[in-house]
Amino acid sequence: MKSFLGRRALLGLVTIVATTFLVHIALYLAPGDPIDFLTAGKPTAPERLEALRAQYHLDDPFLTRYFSWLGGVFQGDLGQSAAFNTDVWTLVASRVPTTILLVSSSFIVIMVFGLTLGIVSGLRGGAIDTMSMATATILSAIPAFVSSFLLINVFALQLGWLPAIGIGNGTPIDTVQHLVLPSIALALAAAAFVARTARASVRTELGRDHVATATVRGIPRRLVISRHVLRNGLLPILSIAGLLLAGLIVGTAFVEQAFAIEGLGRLLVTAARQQDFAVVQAVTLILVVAFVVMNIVVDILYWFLDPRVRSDTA
Amino acid sequence: MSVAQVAAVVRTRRRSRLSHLGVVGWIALAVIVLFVFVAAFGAALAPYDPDAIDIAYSNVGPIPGHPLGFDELGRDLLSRLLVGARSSFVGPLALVAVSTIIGTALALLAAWRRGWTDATLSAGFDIAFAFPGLLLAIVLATMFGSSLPVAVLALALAYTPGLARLLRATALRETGMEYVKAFRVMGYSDFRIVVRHVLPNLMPFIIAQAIVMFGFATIDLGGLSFLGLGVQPPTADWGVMVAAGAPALLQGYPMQTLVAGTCLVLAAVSFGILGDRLARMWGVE
Repeated sequence: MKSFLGRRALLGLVTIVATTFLVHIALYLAPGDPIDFLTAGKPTAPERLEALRAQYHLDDPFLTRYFSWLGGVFQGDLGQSAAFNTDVWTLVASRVPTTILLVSSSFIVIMVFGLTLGIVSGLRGGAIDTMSMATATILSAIPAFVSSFLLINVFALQLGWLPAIGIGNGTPIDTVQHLVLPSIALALAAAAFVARTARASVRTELGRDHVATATVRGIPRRLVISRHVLRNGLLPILSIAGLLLAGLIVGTAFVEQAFAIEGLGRLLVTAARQQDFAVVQAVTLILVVAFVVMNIVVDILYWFLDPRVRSDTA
Repeated sequence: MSVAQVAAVVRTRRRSRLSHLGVVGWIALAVIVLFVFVAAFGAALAPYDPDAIDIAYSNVGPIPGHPLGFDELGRDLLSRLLVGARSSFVGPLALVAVSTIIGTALALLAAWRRGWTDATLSAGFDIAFAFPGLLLAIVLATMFGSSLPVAVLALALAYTPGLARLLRATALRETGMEYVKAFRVMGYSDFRIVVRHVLPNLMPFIIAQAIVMFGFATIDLGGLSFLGLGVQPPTADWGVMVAAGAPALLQGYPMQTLVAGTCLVLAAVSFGILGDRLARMWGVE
């Protein structure tokens, strides 16, 4: 377990360093003087320019610059935003909880709907199967930036059941009400993917010899399904979790934009449009770290749930 | 067999192959032909000037002569939709062309040279494949500013390794065939064998993949334009129109956002289905 965890953590660290390094290089590959770029072309006082030069160590060699930025990150210093005129750390910190809420509520939607649909389709077959798989195919074809507006139009404007945009005034009930539609919009494509994967895998497991043996031995169907079919059949869901998480993280940009939610995704897009390099760099770092950490969690879960992985990597 | 008999066999074979498209495949093909026609001649088909602003008609719904009504600036919505088809397809066309050509070249190189060339390229494909296209687009937009060419470049960097990975596996099988060995013995140059003989055999696979990729490209580029990182307003473009219609949608005028969004989804689904059916028809799934 120790060596397994160590290897995964090392791989994660390499990913984080490589990604941030690439993004950092981008600043110096951009056309023009990095200083124009960091001030976003605005007229800036000479003292401020000096401060920026010092902050980005623009007079130092390239590697020194990268490592001093990295060092700053560990001290909670992410630099100054040119477009928002504030400290990047404050800017980012206020948006992290919103995005975490959105991603986790969306994850619940994916698991509840995707797994239920997939398992029921796989076990029952017939008309339920055909219908739910057709639904899944249609849903997976609609991108979040279109489904968001369909949901707003139907459930917020026509039916008036839920609020249309924003994240509410902060009371728990209000927050939940504001989260329902964006979570569904973010979850739709992923839920369809989970449903199809779960169905296929349940189907495969149902046809296995050990399942037939268990059935022939007279073990109740309920037990056969829970111990033989589902226990093996749901492992593939864990292995697509990494892909799902990447999709969710990227998807927040579209959903937050559509629902006017002030989260990390919307901040990233706004910063990119205004060429605010410090913010883009900071948010990219956070997203990559989140992705790496979640993938390690998935790997650990896999290690606990599947003994075969344990014997391979011990 | 007489000539007539041969012709009959060929005819039935051709019919049975085309029937692989199925009803859904034919519908998808019809939708694509329609969209391509509109993309080519949209400006001539548009009943009004797509950029003519008339604030008096801001967000007015369908009236006689204007079947879809007007957008937030009082521009004729049908005209903008027709003209927007070109901008919504030009990006994906460039993206698919670039990714397919470079991806094919890299895959053939890896499959032909094998050894360390293959190992290096494959590792490169795997790493680049894992990096999300949106993040690339964000970083490139921050560097060079937001425009359609920058968005296409970012997505091309994300798409190429995906195609190269898929194609490499197929190309490896193809370059291991007897006929390739035979040509080598006959002293044909590497370039001639790969370009004149291996590549044509891979074409069905490449074409089917490119069509599927076109579907993803319309959605991804439309999404970037929606975020403001692709095509820039006031150009008529479906992704831009989804975003431009959002404020009106909240006030109860959903027409622009929903119509533009529907066109994007319809195009993407049609390309996806056609590519899928062609792959099945040619036996290159």
